[in-house]
Amino acid sequence: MRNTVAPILSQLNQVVLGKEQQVELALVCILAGGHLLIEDLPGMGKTTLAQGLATTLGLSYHRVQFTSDMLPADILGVSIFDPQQQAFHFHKGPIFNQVLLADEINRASPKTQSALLEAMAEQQISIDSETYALPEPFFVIATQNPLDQAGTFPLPESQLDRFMMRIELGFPDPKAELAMLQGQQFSEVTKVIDVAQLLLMQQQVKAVSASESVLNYLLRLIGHSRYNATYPNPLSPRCSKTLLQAAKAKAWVAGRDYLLPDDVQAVFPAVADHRLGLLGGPQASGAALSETLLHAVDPLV
Amino acid sequence: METFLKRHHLLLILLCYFTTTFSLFAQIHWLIFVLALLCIGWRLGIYFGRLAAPSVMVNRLAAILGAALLMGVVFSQGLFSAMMHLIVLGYTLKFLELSARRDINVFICTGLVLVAVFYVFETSILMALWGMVLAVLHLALAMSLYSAHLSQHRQAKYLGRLVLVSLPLALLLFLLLPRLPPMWKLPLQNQAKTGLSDTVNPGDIAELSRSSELAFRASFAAEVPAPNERYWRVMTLDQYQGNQWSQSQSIKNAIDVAQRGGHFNIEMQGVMQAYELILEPSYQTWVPSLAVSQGRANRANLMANYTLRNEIPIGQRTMLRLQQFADTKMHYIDLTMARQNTLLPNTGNEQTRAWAAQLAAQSGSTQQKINQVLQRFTGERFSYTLKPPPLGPQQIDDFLFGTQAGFCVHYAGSFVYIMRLLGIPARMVTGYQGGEWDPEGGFLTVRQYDAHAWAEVYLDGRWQRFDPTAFVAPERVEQGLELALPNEFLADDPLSLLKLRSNPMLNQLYLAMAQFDYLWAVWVLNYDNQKQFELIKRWFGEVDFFGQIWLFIGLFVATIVFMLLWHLKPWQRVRLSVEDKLLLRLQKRFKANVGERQQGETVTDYCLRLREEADFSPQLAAQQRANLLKFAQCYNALKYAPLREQQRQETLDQLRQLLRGI
Amino acid sequence: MQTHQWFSSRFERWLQRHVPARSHIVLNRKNLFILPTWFGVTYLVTCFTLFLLGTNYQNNLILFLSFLLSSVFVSCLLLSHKNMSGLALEAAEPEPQFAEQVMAFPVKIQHSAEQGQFYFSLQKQPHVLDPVIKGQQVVVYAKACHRGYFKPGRLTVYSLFPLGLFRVWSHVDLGWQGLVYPKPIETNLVLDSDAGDQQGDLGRSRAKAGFDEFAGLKTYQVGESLKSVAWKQLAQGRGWHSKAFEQAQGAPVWLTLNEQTGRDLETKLSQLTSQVLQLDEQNALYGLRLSGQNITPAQGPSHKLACLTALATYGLTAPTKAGVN
Repeated sequence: MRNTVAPILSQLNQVVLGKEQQVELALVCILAGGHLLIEDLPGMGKTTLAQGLATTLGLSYHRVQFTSDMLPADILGVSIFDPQQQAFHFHKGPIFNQVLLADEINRASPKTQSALLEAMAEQQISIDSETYALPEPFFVIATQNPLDQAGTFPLPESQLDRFMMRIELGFPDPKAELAMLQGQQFSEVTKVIDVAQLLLMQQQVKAVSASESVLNYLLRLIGHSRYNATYPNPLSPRCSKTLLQAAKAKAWVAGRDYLLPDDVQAVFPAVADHRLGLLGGPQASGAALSETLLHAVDPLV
Repeated sequence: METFLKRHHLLLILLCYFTTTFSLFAQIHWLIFVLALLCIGWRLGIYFGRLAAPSVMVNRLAAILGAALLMGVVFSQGLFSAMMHLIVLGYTLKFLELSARRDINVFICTGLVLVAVFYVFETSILMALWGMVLAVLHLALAMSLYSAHLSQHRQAKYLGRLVLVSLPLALLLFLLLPRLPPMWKLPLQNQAKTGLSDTVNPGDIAELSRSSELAFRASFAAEVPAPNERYWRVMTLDQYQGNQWSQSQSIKNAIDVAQRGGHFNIEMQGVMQAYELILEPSYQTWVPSLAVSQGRANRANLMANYTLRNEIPIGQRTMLRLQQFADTKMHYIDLTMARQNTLLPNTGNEQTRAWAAQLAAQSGSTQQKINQVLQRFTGERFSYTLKPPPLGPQQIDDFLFGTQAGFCVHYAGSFVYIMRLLGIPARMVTGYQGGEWDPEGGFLTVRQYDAHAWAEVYLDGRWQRFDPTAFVAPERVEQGLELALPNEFLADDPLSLLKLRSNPMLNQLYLAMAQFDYLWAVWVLNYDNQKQFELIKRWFGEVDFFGQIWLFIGLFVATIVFMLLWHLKPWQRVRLSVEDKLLLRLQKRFKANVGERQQGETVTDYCLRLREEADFSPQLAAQQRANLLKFAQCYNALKYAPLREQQRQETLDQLRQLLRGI
Repeated sequence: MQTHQWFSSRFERWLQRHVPARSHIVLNRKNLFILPTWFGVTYLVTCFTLFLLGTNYQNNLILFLSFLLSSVFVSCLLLSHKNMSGLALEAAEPEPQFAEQVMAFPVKIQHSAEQGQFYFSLQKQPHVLDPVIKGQQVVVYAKACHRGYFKPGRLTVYSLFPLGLFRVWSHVDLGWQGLVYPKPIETNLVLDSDAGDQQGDLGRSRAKAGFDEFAGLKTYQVGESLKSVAWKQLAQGRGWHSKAFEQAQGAPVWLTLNEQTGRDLETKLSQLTSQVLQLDEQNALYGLRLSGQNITPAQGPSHKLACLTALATYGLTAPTKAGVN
């Protein structure tokens, strides 16, 4: 199964130039079964990456541009009265796709955001006392713009916690940008694997073995954030679970079936930054905090 | 200021105090208890907030009062008692100033010294255990003070373990540390003397015979003497003053000399056997012995009358090793001694004098005359009783011609009197006769009721033993007092354990206890250098002095190692795995060059850093850099991957090889 | 006195070599010290006294008691050491504090076999508050005197467990370094603050007047800071409103450090600190201009912290932090 990883990554790297690390993290996030939040300035290739991911992995996807006047029904769907059958008929919204690309998620009102919340956590939605299961697999890839905060509703901690990872793309290096400008032709994004293969990959990721010393390291990382006054938002047990999943996926992508502290370190900033950061504080503080945390805890004892 | 002193501390202190002082109850002046009540009352007052802590003045006043009390005690009871009271006084006054932990520390140490004082007085097994309980109580007080965060239950458990774990070392020290001789003379405890006294009235020994208290025990190297040979000589009384028998001045002088270490040098002949005595404390210096015995390398010194005197009073259960001989090479009697042993008051006991004169007038050998006197005790209707009717001022006459009922002293006294009337040197000997042989335990038990008096006559150039009691009551000599006087035996003490011995089960129990007590006395209380040698010989074979020292050091180290292992449990410690050790070696190799692994740096990152920063020799650089990466891989696989044993071994070998190659 | 100093400096250097600074330290036989306490010495003397008594009275029971007590002493030596070794201390970052305030230094302790009681104190600092020990969390306190980086020095951790016969201790350097803000000194004269932007010199009276200007109520929007909620109105049942302040949108205020004029530097820094606090309380837009460092006007807690940090570290270089494993 692992030999498909390379083609997936190479295709994605052609779509988003010079961002090998972030691309890999995004793939890791999907393999670990988590939702992804991409945060960056407009025009950095957020949407391109999300689209590329969905296509490459052969997933059905729908893109929703979030706006402040958006209602939950716009995402979930509505029940419409069918005069012919004299009954309400549920029209599924864009959420009933394997990948929901939520563009500029922080523009939507909290009400709409929270509608997404249930879907992300439970993989099901409830409308009019009916529960509808969402497709398998189901991912939310959300993007948001860190600057230009006027008229936005920052995601609350509870919602941030639902995202396995938050990644930033950042500016491409000049070489990559030059290549882009030169209009280097790349082939059409095509499907590399299908859903069945993806599910199989996810299973293999779960089977990656984690030795006690790695788990211990992970726990010490989490624990360090809890008693230390430097970290205003201690990491939750959910975070430790998520971190383990993500690290496992990272190990699997790296071609190992056992976990190393390196894997944990590699995914840690993406997993922990948005959970550690102070709400309303500068976003960079989360990154600084996870950096200090990684330096404070030694992988070996 | 007193926040450290909690209620349970105070309770524990009170418990320690009362158990310790009540254990010494008989030795402590009642005024101390009054003082204690005052101090404790004050302390409780402070505790409940009713009273202020005593000022320095009050403390000093109490100390001065105590000192005054002490002075009184010194004069009445001797130096030992005074010292003990000084300690108890300090122990008591501590109640007034329990203001810091230091005070409780002092209290604990004082208490431990008092436990030792308690051991000076009490040495039985039960009391020894009780003393240990007292000591542990004091340790528990320390524990409650310094491990206050533990629950009391856990404190007790912890302390129990602590003491148990310390026992092996203590036992080792006890068993193998050579005993030192006393370094200086310490004041002795002042106790009422028990057992035979220096003078004998006719009723004295009968008095002693009412007591079933232990006098001493003996064990024999060869075989136990027959019952009628068990005459334990304690002292000779050669002076009769009309109402009592006592020691003449020359004997008193001899005793004095013997107590100072003077030994009557006389050559013995015919080695019979060695025997050991375990003397119960009598607070006197006499030592019972079989004729003729002398001490073996101890402080029991022989006197000219062939009795033994110890240099210090027997204040605790003491073991003495003696050697019995058949006879002395030469029999010593000088003129003064001959004169002293025929000396009688000039008048009195006319009837006896007349009878003696009549006897003297008869023809026949001295031996025949003696026999005639002895025959009189059997022939006529003399009776043997513990409760003889009272005698008038003419004691001998009253007894021989009046009451004709008496105890051993009556018979021996009359016999010696008559002998002296006949001009034959004779003296009264007091001591013990008989004893109960325990074949299982292998020891003879002699009790106070075995006290006896008999006579010795200087005949044919040597002192010969005559026991007139054997003629009036042969069963006394053959079988002991209990069978000789079944009705009178321990009549005052109906509940005595000895009387219940007709019950076989109780008898068994009694014997077992006696044996255990004997072993306790021999192997614990009187465990000395010689016993040490015996023990070492039994366990380790023949060992000389230096061998013993080496043995001691070896076992000491072994015990310390045992304690270390027990406490530190190194097998439970997390050990560095092999791969971690190899990593440390790698780090050491690059320490000067690149530095150690940073905190938070994984091994892979570290190896990558080494690859970049370390200086390698140019021709080997590529190879070594590759090795570094492989090292990280192998290390990670070993540490984090689930490997089978064989795989693991292979990877480990590879890792070692890589380290060599780097 | 001189020899004492010489010894203590030698000891300090020795400690530096053998117990170097680390934020995570596990106590073991290399960094632990053990000596009998006075009680231990007294106890030992008692044991010896008992030995003499036992020897002189030839009393084996007293001798045994003496041996047993000595063995307990040896056991205590081992146990008290065992109790401490393996204790892991992990320092946490202390929170910044103002000068002449008591600063809290948190440590996390971890022990495999928890039975001993540990005591903590700072080796070089005068005692200000008793350390707080709560489960695995320990907080020791020290008073920071000057602004800047405050190193409280070594932490002494000791234990008397189990019988108080031995004191086992270690002086560990956890590499603590707290940030100390200048002590705020209230000043009515807003000496070095001026209003307006760089060119404008509009006078401070206006700047001050603008801070508290209450502009009125507006409907509360979910997600707005709870600080701005008009609670009074909410309590009156008039619904959710938030208070709006005019000056927030108004001209930013600059606080400037003028090194040349006036009082000494520390006093001026203290006064600036006080002003930063005041302005933050008033929710004003303010910036800080120190020579060589400008903080653009902004507001909010993180801005306040940035300003205070700049004031605390002004003219100081950050010392290197220990933390190498």
